[in-house]
Amino acid sequence: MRVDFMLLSYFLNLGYACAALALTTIGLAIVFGLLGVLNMAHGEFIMLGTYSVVVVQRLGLPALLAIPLAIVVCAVAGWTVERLLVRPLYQRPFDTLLATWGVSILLREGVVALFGKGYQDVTGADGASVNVLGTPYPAFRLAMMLAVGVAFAGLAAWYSRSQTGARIRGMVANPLLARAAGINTTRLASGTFITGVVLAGLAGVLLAPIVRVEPYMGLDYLLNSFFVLVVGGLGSLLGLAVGTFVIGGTQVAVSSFIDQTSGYTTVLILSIYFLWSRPNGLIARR
Amino acid sequence: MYEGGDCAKGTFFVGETPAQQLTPVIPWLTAQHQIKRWFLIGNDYIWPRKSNEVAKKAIQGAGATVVGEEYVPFDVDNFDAVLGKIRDSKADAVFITLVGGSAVTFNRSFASFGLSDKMIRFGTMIEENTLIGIGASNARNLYSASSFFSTPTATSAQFLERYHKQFGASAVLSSIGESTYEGIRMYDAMARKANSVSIGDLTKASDGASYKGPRGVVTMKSRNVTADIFLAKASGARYDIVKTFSQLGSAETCASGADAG
Repeated sequence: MRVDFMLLSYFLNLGYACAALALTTIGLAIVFGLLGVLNMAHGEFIMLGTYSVVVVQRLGLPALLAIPLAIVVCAVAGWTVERLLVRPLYQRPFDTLLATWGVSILLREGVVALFGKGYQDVTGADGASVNVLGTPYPAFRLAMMLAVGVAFAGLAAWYSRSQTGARIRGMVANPLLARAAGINTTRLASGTFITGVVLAGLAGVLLAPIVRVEPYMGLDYLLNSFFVLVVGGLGSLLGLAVGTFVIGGTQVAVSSFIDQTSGYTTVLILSIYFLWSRPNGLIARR
Repeated sequence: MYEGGDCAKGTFFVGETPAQQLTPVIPWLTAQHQIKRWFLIGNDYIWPRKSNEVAKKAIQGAGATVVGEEYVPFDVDNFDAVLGKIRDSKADAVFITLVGGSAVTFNRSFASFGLSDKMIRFGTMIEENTLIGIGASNARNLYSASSFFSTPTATSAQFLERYHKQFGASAVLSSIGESTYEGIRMYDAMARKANSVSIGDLTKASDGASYKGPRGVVTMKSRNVTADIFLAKASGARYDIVKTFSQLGSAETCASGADAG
């Protein structure tokens, strides 16, 4: 009985860690994995999502309105960044890295100017816990895990079956040929970039009641997302899933059995090993 | 606040040491809540580790035991593993030396796992800004010890009124920001006593330099201060002072007076 109880909470922790990681990585997986743009402002777009919740809450509006607000804010921000900065710099990875790093600084300091440096209290359903076979567990997290599972299944189905999915795969595999076949890759790339940014913002909305909300929160998400993609490999949802389970699983297992410093160290060592000797990750793009 | 143990030339500390924040507070909390088992959690650097050295002595002295001790890196944003250990340890109280964002995330998760009604939390760096981040609904049974809270006392009420008149009613003031004001006040008191601003003269005259400021009477001794410590309990997004420990020494022994300088 005791063992079951421990195992259950271990699996719940694993499930949450993986759901949160997948959620915060999907935006970067799209922008970096499909377009080759290492978007250094990825974490800041997640931050914009959390501040959408802060704004909605301050205005006394229903919490669900944070979703359309985040979509609009991130779509406008994503379109602007893609049009003005990223589009002239495709195929120049180091320059996009610098340019998006500049964007991240701008977004951080912009939020500091508007909201101040302090922590924001996002009151949500995170306080309520339900009993899962006798162990109290936050209800909000269960809902979040379910939502992430459903959303990813939907995304995978859409990407593999829809026209647009096929066009994106064509563009990624061979941009010149895709253009010759009549695909407007400029518009498609712009749409892909915006989708990545909006998904990052939505991740922020979903996580806002659970995590700390402050202007510099984005940096941690950027790093962890990058580790997931390094280990899993770029350009496929399977790679994202594998990377998530390896990074999240390692973190949870080592943290539970030793401590969190060791968990973090193991993740770092693993990522360095992959960058060094398996730079394509576990699931290489076909 | 700082960990103590630093006597660099020309340095005078106005912050609380772990001895001040913990030595009388932990036995008081232990007795008050009949605590048998303490769990220690902090960020992985010198201040939490030094604080826990002092805390462990105080806990053992009060007849309770330490059932767990863990340190996490600064950027950890997921405390599920350590929260599982805390729950399984059947602790009655958790001593928290996490700082900033770590303290926010930890305490939010702590409450969401339903632990805030099962055990008390006590922190020495959970100031008002952090408390706002933790959120009113997640701060049940949360204590904090410091020489300053933005809760008005006989000595701080006027200062707080002037502060909010200048910077607005919503400006959050905590011990961290307020300590810089104390620094200027202490420098003023020392310079008047020494009638000089040279490091040698200040050091020689520093013992006994004193003033009455927002924290009450503060007196320099061994280049650290003797001052009041307040124990406060979170009540929504602010603190209620539940106990005042008068004029506690720093337990530091930096050279001062005629032989130093």
